[in-house]
Amino acid sequence: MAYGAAMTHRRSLIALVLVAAAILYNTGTPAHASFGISQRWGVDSCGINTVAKAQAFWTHTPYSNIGVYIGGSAAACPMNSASFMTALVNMGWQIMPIWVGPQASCSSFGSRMSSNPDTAFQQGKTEAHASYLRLRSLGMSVDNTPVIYDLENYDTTNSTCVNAAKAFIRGWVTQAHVPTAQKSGVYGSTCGSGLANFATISPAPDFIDGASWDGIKSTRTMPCISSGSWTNRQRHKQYRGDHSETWNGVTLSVDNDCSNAPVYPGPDELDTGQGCL
Amino acid sequence: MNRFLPLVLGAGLLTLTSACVGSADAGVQPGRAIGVPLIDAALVTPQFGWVLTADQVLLTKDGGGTFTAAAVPLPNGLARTAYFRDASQGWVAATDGATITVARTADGGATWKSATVESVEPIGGLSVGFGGATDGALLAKVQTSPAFSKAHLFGTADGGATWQEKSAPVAGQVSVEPDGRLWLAGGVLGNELYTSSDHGTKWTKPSLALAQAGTIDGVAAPQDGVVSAKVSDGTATRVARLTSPDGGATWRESATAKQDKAAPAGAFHVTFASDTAGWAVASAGQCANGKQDCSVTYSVQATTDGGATWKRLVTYVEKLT
Repeated sequence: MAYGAAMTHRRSLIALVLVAAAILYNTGTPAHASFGISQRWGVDSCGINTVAKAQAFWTHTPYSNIGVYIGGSAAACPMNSASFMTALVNMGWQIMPIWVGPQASCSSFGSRMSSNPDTAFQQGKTEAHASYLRLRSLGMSVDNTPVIYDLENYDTTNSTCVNAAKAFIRGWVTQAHVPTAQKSGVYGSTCGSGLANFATISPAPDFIDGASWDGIKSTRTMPCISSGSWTNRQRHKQYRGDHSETWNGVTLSVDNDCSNAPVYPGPDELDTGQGCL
Repeated sequence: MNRFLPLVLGAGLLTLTSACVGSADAGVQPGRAIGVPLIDAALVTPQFGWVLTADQVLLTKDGGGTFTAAAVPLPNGLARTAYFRDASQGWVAATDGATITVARTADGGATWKSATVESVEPIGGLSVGFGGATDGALLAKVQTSPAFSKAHLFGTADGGATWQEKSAPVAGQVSVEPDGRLWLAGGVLGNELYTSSDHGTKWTKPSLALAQAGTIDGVAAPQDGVVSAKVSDGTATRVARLTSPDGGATWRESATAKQDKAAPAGAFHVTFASDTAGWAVASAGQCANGKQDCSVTYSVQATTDGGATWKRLVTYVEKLT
């Protein structure tokens, strides 16, 4: 390399380093990404409602992820404290935010969506917007943040009910994808909530949180879900439900999750040997 | 698959494995890794008790000194429950998801008959209770997120040979009085109490006043006007004695009732066969290396002094990671 060219190259490198340094100086410590892929274990529980209980289920436990019910008309244990959410994140938890709104039109739950698909579609959009506002009020990033809609069992042989549920979820996903977009998920029984029906809607949910209490941790094993659906790190699995566990002296009723899907915030926590893949 | 390894705790404390050595039909082989969790246990009389795992029903007739495995025709799985009204008559129920099998014995577990109950929704938990030899209730919790509490109730008037669907306000634990009145404790937050005098057609929700807030993990039908409820606040479990000053509209943890009984740390099920003799089922998890090398220790513990002291009868260790 000629001397002049070498000097030019060196100056370019120095300039690059200075620019990078300036960027770091101006932004401080890089914030966590608003989502990461977790392949770890998690817990869902209405009982983890204080910082002390969250700490008890965090320290020297196998759990990294926590399902948090952030609101909705059917949320029996909503968590709407920004300070609690911040405490969870600072502790190290990666969050699965869950929105519990109207249930299927043919279900027996008190809060139900319309059986009219057009109306249900709009209701789905409304719920997604409400969850977006809740994320913001909780002090969370809304850029690509995963949000899960809790849709419980319903009569999946009732075509009117199924079509309304599909329209509702289509509205849920459509609204969530409006910039600044969120990653839109659906929780439900892999069979009883008809999750497979949502694989073919457009837009389809970005990921699912499938409940099948068979004790099998692998997210690939989901009854009623095609092996070809949601294959690109798009599955949480709730593999055990409704039992008591004691960690650090605190006993709570919990459900267990294994993940291969987005959580809030990042970074990625990949293949830690916990059997979720 | 999780692995459960029986632990020998020391002199005087028996493990399931060691207790069953030499029993021809025990079904528990020395050194066998038990692959499924301990679900529940109860002391029914000071001598007779049962331990339920996801693949076994173990019975003792000497207060926990030795156990034998009963040959109960049930599917394996985590959704299981048992109830014995005495040392002879008992019921064990299990589900593979939608079909519930209820096995019954009238000879202390020597022989069993079974019936099946179909559910239209996937079932994730069960509770069974009887008020006598014939009238019973089976509460089947629907698989839902923790934000919901939903169950199907089935009733029987012929000892469990046939079951008819009724209604239930929430999921939880059910018990039955001799006159057929039902008691149900549960709900999303575990702090609701219901009763039904018509076998589950209509329910009432009495007011509940606990001395300290907590979840009700189980309720026993009243005896001499006192309802026994297992109450947990997350860090301690007690058997609370509830009395009603107004004919059942309100139930209060009363200072005039008998002393509440304390349970050992980590206890999630407690039963007393008398004022002094009882069992508790407890668990405690621990990781040796951050979030690695984790295990859960399950134990059945016994008291003979009303809960003042507890001694471990059996222990399982589940290796998690």
